Amino acid sequence: MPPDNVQDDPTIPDDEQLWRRVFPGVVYENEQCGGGLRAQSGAFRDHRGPLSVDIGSLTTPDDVLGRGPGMRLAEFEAKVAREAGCKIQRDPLPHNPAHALIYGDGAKGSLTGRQAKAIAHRSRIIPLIS
Amino acid sequence: MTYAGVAVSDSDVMHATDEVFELENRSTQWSEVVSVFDLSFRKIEVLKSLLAMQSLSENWDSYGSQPPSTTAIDVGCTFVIRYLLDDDPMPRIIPVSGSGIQLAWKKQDKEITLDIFPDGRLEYVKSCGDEIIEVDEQFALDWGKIRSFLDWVR
Repeated sequence: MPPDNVQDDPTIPDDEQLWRRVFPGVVYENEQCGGGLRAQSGAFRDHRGPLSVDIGSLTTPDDVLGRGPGMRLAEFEAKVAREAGCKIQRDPLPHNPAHALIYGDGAKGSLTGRQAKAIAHRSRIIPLIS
Repeated sequence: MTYAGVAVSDSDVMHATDEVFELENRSTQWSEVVSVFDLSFRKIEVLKSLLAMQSLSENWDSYGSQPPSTTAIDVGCTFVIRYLLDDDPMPRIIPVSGSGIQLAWKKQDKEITLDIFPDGRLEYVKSCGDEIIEVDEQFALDWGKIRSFLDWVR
């Protein structure tokens, strides 16, 4: 379970895009979100605790991908995480002011398999622009 | 350590070369070597994917994660060797942040994921499109259950 003092941040609007660097190995055709590709749900889990993401309006895809060479970028709206029962908090870091954390119902605030899958199904891989 | 009756000791050792690998499973109770020649090409490919995760670097996910734990990899190999038949659909495998592994099967809208936690625990999620049909957060390696879910995505 997430820590008791974790509150969802209402200043992050529902239509805010959240970005997560994902392992490039496995992506699927996305039947739910009008085509394109999505990541496997494991890309939205972290057994150590809450899931790190970037707030899209505060950064750029190039900045996010620049911190993880060889990775791809998945995006989903904040409301997708909320509808999965997650809470979102800003967590700016010195080198990344766009950083945020998504708290789920698993151990130490991690996302459960159910929550990760709900997000994965409504996420999309941002196409690479060469 | 026991997974559904299969003893897996911390002394499990895997050897890999370019052409052949063997899984040696040694414990005080039993000893077994699985030769590559007893495994199908498809299962060998899955095992290679699992073993390759040992070589992931620290911070492989760019979020500071360590590679999958030895325990998680052991459980994954046990699953492939003991519970997958040669003609079963083979899983797609990815590392998960926080030293886990996820195996996934997908056929059209049907999807099964089997998460292996760093300590070897298993979590199973069955879904069809957006609908999550079944979740088992304490999944045990059980022949009947595994046959059932593999048949579902066959």
